[in-house]
Amino acid sequence: MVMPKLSIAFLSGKGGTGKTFVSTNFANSIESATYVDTDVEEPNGQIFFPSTDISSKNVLVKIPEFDREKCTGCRACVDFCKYNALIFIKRPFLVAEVCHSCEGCYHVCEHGAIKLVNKKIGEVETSIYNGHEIISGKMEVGQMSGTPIIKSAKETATSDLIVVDCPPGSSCLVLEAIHSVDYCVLVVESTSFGFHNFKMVYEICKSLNKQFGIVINKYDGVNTLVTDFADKNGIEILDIIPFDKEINDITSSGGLISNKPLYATRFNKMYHNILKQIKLGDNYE
Amino acid sequence: MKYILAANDKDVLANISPVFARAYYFAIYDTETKEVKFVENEASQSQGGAGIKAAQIVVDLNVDKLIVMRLGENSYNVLKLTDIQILQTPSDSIENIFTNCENNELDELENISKGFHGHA
Amino acid sequence: MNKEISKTTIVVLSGKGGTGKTTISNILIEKLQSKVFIDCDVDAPNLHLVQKTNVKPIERGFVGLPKYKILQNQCIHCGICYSLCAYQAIDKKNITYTIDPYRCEGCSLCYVKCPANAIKEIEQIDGHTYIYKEEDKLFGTAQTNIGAGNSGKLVTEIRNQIRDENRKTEFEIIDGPPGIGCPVIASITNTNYALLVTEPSLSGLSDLKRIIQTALILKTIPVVIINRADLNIKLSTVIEKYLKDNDIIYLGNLPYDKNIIQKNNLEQYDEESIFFKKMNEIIKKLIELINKEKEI
Repeated sequence: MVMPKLSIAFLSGKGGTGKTFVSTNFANSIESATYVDTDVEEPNGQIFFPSTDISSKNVLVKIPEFDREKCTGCRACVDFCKYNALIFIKRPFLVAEVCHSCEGCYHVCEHGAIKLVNKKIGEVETSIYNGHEIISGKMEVGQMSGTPIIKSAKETATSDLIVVDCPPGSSCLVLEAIHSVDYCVLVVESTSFGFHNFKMVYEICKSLNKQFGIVINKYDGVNTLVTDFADKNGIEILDIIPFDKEINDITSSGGLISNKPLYATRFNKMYHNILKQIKLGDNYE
Repeated sequence: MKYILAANDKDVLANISPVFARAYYFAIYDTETKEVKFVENEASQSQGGAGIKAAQIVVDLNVDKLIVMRLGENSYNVLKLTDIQILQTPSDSIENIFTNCENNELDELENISKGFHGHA
Repeated sequence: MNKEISKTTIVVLSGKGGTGKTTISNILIEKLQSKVFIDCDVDAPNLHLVQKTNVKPIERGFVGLPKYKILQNQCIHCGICYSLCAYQAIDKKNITYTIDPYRCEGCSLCYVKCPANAIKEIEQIDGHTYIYKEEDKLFGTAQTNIGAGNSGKLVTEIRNQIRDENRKTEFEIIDGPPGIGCPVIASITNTNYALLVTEPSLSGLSDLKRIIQTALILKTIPVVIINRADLNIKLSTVIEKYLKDNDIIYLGNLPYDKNIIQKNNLEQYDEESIFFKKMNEIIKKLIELINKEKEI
């Protein structure tokens, strides 16, 4: 049976709940799946898919450069810039740190005095691990926004199943990461902090009309905040993974627990639970 | 000579604003006419880069000296492209500060508050 | 006249999420008797969940850059906005163009260039700040609205609001956000120390390196704690060696303690536990370090 192209995002709200743990093992357990790390500020998915052959491409944005001869001093560019990134002291100057690369100054200049030049803000690295395409977006330290890097990383993916490992939180970075994905897996920690932050991404999924389910990770067998909420709101629980020393030992040392057949089966089952849920939503034959 | 400082009240007896970029007004003193004028600070409404915009406003007012209690890096970086002298003052009334400035009693600003976009 | 006590500001960061920033910030606030503290993890604030507050907070909306919306009945379908948007925030379905509010960054180029004046400006509330003002403490926190792109500015806003209150304290504690981007940079500027909480994993070390770099660029002194160190002693040792080789101050480590994770406030913690004994040692080291720096 030919599977249509599918993208599944793993997000959490709170950091450290196990997005990378679940998404890397999930990708590893499904044939030909592509893993995309969009936590561009702190990407660490690559650690689990070691490779000696990594190709890299730069992610560039545009910033303005001024032609003094053509500039008439009309200040249309300075007046336009919403970010106050342009100043005028006898001629225009760019305050690079606040430039958002909207390219608007270039378009509003009526004297052709502005040229757009490239600025590197990060990279997208690609490698192969056991037949899986591994893509990692990495932002340069000191940069302000990683959104273009996330876009570029996702666009690089070629296979039919794309697994997107998202940044923590609920900011515009997360929204960019889940843009156009077909399904969201919310990785939750069953603690009061975890539950509190989970509710944020729950709201995001609902307001964006995304189909989603929950994986409860590091479960201590005691706290029922999340399971109670899921039951009350009819949310699909895809799996409950207990807090387990073996998992911790292997994962903290950079290993994939799904290289053990028992766990590979478990993550594969998670995938089929998702497919079942999506099919019920009438999207696929 | 023209001096400028940031104020939150249009009153020479009121104290200087402790913040520069988002103060409501600028007070400008002309040593020739001995008059103080107040203008609105449009940068106070800025969503971001207020320090840059406030500095631009100061530049456009063609002043010689700026007096502050504290100054952020964004504003400082713009102003250092000009010949405007930046002086420091402790909290005091606008009137007193302009007098002190005219009597050359104010020192140049030494410490810049690292901005939101601070870099090495 | 009283000698003014100089303030030391400590921001608690980690790079990686979930290492224990908020839990440790909460303990630091108590142990250092901090009278001014801020939760700068504005996307996912948690400090208010474990702080006892006796007053209602002063809430303020934080207005961001306006966003833009296409008025369909005025649109002439020329597609100019679509071709100009640097953020690909304009969706095209046949001849209908709509602006995706989550991708729109408010640059206003489409608004300025639309030949039919068919684009409207919409005011945006990007988030809210909350200040709890009590006699013996001042607590600031904030929350961004979903998808708001101005986390960094909201951090700056709550820090400025707290600064303007002019409350005196010997230690100001900032509970920081994960990552190394905008909101982290806004949390680190104008602080004295960045207390970095890491965990013994390769991911933790990888993220730690990047947050150390960020702190150094912003001229704040990084000091490191390894939390839950006993979960992987080998990696804890690797991290300790990395810190030593790179002259980064290491304050000590803390054991994994199930009770800390599940308890909701300090009164429920066990002061006799190994966790707390080690925490007290770490704080003692930190204070010694700060006093030594002050003398220089």
